[in-house]
Parts: sequence; structure tokens; C-alpha cells
Amino acid sequence: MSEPKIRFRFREPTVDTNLPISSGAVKVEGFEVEVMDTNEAGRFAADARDEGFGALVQRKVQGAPDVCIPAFPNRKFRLSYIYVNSAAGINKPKDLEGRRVGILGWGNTAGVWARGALQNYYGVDLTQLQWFSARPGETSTAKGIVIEKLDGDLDSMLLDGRLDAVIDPNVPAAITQRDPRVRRLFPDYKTEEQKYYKDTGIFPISHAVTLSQEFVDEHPDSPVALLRAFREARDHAFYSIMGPDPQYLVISWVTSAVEEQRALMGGDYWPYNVEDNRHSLESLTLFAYQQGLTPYQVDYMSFFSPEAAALPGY
Amino acid sequence: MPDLKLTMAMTRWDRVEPLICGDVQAEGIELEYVELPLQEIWRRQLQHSEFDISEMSMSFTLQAIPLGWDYRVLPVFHNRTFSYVNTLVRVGSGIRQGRPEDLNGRRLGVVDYQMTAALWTRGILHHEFGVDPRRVEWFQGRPDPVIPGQTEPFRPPEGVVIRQPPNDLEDLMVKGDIDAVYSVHPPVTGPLSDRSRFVPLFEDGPAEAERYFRKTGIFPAHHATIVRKSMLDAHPWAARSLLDAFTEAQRITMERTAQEPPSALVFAREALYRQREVFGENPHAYGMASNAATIDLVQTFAFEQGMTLRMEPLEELFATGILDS
Repeated sequence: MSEPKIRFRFREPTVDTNLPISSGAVKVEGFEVEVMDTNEAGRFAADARDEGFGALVQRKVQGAPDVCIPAFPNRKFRLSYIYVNSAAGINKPKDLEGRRVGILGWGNTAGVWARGALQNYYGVDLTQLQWFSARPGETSTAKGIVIEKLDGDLDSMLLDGRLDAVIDPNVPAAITQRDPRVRRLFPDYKTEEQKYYKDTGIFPISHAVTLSQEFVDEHPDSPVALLRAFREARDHAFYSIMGPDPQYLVISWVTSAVEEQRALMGGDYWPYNVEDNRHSLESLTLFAYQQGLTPYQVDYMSFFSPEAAALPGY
Repeated sequence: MPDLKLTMAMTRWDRVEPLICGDVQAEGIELEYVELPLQEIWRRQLQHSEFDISEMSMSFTLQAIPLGWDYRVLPVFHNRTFSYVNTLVRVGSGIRQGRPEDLNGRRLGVVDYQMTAALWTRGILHHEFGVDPRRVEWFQGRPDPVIPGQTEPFRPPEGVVIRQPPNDLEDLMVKGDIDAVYSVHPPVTGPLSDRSRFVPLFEDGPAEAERYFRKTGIFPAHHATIVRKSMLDAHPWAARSLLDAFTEAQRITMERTAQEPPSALVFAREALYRQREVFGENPHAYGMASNAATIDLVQTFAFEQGMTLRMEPLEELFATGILDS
């Protein structure tokens, strides 16, 4: 009798924290993982996926039944993803007030984190920025936040100055190519992000793994099985860098980069559990409320499979 | 249908992985990959010439090939690092941090006098900073390697004194009976990790390495890739096929790493960016032309330090058919 299938839709199947599962190197106990072609996702629903935490928060407040497990294959500091037009005269966060800022969508997780930092850490009044969203018809329930429709492409509008700033979860080609017309709000973003981490203790979560309620009802042991597999995948990815014999020598200074990493964030900065992530989860749901993604601060504990949330371990 | 089935023993370097897992194929060749620890590879190759292709210590390669060992070198280098900056110095020994010349007249521990890391470190400290191997008292940790074809034990040049193994280098450092020890990475566990008592020769290793690289263009290679000579004699085209495959595998890895850097290194992008600024697009490039200076220098060191009798002509070391790469 063959094992039940989990149809998994990966947003990033080849990222090192996902790859051991998407490639089959790490098995999910009791299940056979079927990696869904992202192109096919519209045709039938996946049983499980990795998804943006911002979108998840919005869906949960609307009553979506999905079940989350505390596996977070993508985490990033987002201060380096705030870009400005070089001629706009924006040299510090407060300079953004009164300016035109483009975003992919209000619920985009990178944006939630970046805006949360701007408001709470840098004291920027988000109601004073003119927001333009690529997603039509967006509104915020936060008082004073107005979101208009973006009429064009984020990157080209930043280049030609129709936008003064952009928050983008990807790195625009113009930045990679060092086009002088655009730059990061924080040119020395590494120092800034390290300082942010030291001061706030927040390591922003980008993606979380969720399962459909229907699948969990049919297979109650699936959240724990999936969490165990994701932990193993993460360990695998980390061992190649943090282990005794780093293999990623495309980066020549990997040993000193690892030392620096350890000094900043310790050895255990990517936990797959709820307890060690309370601060980041609390912050995200707070920011989502502050920014009007949700009409109240959602209780993140309500997202998680109780068994997965209770599973001891890192 | 591949013409050749060849065994390959090598570390699972990220730059080689696409070739190991089959994303890249060497034309006309089916590779059977064998995963083994380095010391095992060294032993089984040096003693038994067991694998058709393998990773190998530069130093042992330079010594064994002139003695008739049935291998030739592919200009595919691994384990490139500036190990000299991590020479560990005992606080209170009189050796000042950042002053390698203070090593003259002192006692130095080295696991194996002939190993590649020691070869490079000794050579760079001599050429760059005037540390003369004859003015240092050497303490060797473990017995000499067995180089195939050797008819007598290794003898260093006149004036170089090596205290024969075994020497417990950690113990000697702790007791203050030696002043410094070569280490590829500064120890992070054990008594030698106590930075109040033992410090790296250069306080800012990466900065010194950058300085050296900017000045000389040298990125020391510790390991090479060797290929069975008798196989190459029968199939001369194989060298080029292998070099092209390694090059493509490297290209893929670099592309993947740039697009999806390792998650564990939160600032990986920044590290890659910084590296590109100092070292250029690809400091790990394969081929003869890209590595001419490094090859010449490591041969010079091996000759000066008594490990080879002469500077071997490249065509007697490297595989025919890739000399123009």
C-alpha cells in the first residue's frame, strides 16, 4: 500500500532550505511528496505550500482554514530592499515623508517588514507617504494610509523619477547593474541591518509552510511529519556552511563570513518552532495591524497546527 | 554511448557538484564519483594510484610526477586560500602581530613540512616578508608523507633544521616550547582557541590577503586535479573534455549562488559583492592562462624548499591537450 501523496507547491524549489525536500533527498515520513509545477497551481489546489507570511496573515484574518507549521524557509532583512531615485534627495528614512513610494502590493511580506521598520524603528509617519501599489483596488484599514494604483512598471518609474522610492522584494536590475540613477536608501545596508538586528532582535520571516485544512483533516499526522522534514532540510543547508568544512567556496571568505555571522546572531538564528520565533511573529502581526492589512492584531498562535507548535526541537 | 568510464575521487566542492550529480556531463566520458575524505584520497592515490581522476595536494603532485607517477595535472584547482595569514602565534613569544619578520630566529610547528599549506605559507612569508626557513627551528608534527617513486627520505635544503616527529604541536604551544604553528584555519576549539594566549599572525586576515592579492594577483591553490596519464595517452581528447566539463560545472554553481546565495549566510550577497570587488569576476577560474602566475610561484617554492630538483616544464606536469587553455 503506497504512501499518501502531499502535493507541494514550492515558490522557491531550489533555495537551499527547500531543495532537500523538493529534490527528494529528505523524505517526509509517511508521505510521498509530489512537487507541483508552479504553472499548474491554478488548475488544482496544492495540499501544502510555502507562502509569504504577509499574505497568510491577511487570509487568516478573513477566515482561511489553512494550517501553518513553524517552518520558515525564507527569512531576510528588508532594509536593503528600499530603493530610491538618486536625484530625489532622500538620504534618510524621514526624507520619505511626502514622497511617492511604489510597492508590489500592500500585503507583500517584504513591504510589511520594511514599513514596520520605517515606522517603529525610524519613526517615519507612514500616512505621510504617497503609496502606489501595482495591485489594483488595494486599501488599508489603517487611518490615514492611502494607496493609489500604480500606473506603470515599478523599476522604470523609479529610474525616471516618476516614483521617488520603491520597496521591492527582489533586487532590481538597475541596482545589480549599478545604474547611477537609483540606489539603496541604505548604501551600507549590511551595517544598518546588523544594527537593526542588534537593537530589535528581529530576524524577519518571509515565507511559512502551510497545509490545507482539508488535507490535515484527512492526514492529522502530516503537520508534524512535514515540520520534521523541513527541519532536516534546513540542517542540511546550514551544515554545508556552518559545519566544520564549509563547501561554499565560491565565497572565498566563507570562514570569516561564518565567524562574523555567528558573532552577530549566534548559532541558532533560524529556528523552526514557535517559541523561539515569538518576537518576530509578534512583530509581523503588529506591523500588519499598524499598516491596516488586518483590522486588529491577529493572534499568530491561531495559525499553527497545535501538534506542530508543540513539537519540541529546533 | 560514452566511450570512457572513469572513476573520480574528490571533495564535493560546490563548484564541482553539477558534474558529480550529472547536471553536467563530460563529453564521451561517464564519471563514477567516489566520495572519500581527503586523507583517504591522498593515501589511496599515492600508494595505489587507485582512481582515474582525483583531487590531490599540489605539493605531493609536484613531487611525485617527476619521479614517474602515472598522473598528469588538469588546471582545475581546489581549496584556494591564503593560509599564511592564519599562522598562529603564541602571545609572549616576542612575535608581534602583523610582523612576520619576527618569526626569524624562532621555533615553528608544522603538521607536515611538505604539505601544500606549509609550502605556500613558507614561500609567501619568505618572499614577501623575509622569513628565512634557515633561520627558523622547525618542529614537525607527524611523519613525512610517502611519495611514490621516492628512493630516499625528504631532505630540506642546507641550513634548514627540522625536529623530527612526533611532536605534539598543541602541547608544545601550550607549554611555550614553540612560538608559532601553521594552521589552515585558526582553531576554534581546544586550548589553541584561547585568543588571550594564541593569536593569528595578522589581526585582520582578510585585509592582509586582499593586500597580497592586489599586489601580486596570486590566489594560492592548495589542491589540483590529477588524471591518469596512461589513460590520457590512450585517449588524449579526454583532458579537454574533462576541463570543459569542470568549467561548465563551475559556471553553473556561480550562477546559482549569485541567484540563490546560501541561506545560512545572511549577508552572503554582500560577501559575494565584496569578493567580486577585490578578486574580480572569477578568482577560481580554471585553465593554464588564468593560473600561470600561481603555477609558476608554487613550482618556484617547491624548488627553493627542496621538494623538487628543478622547475618541471609544464608539458611534463600538465595533461597534453589543455596546455593552451
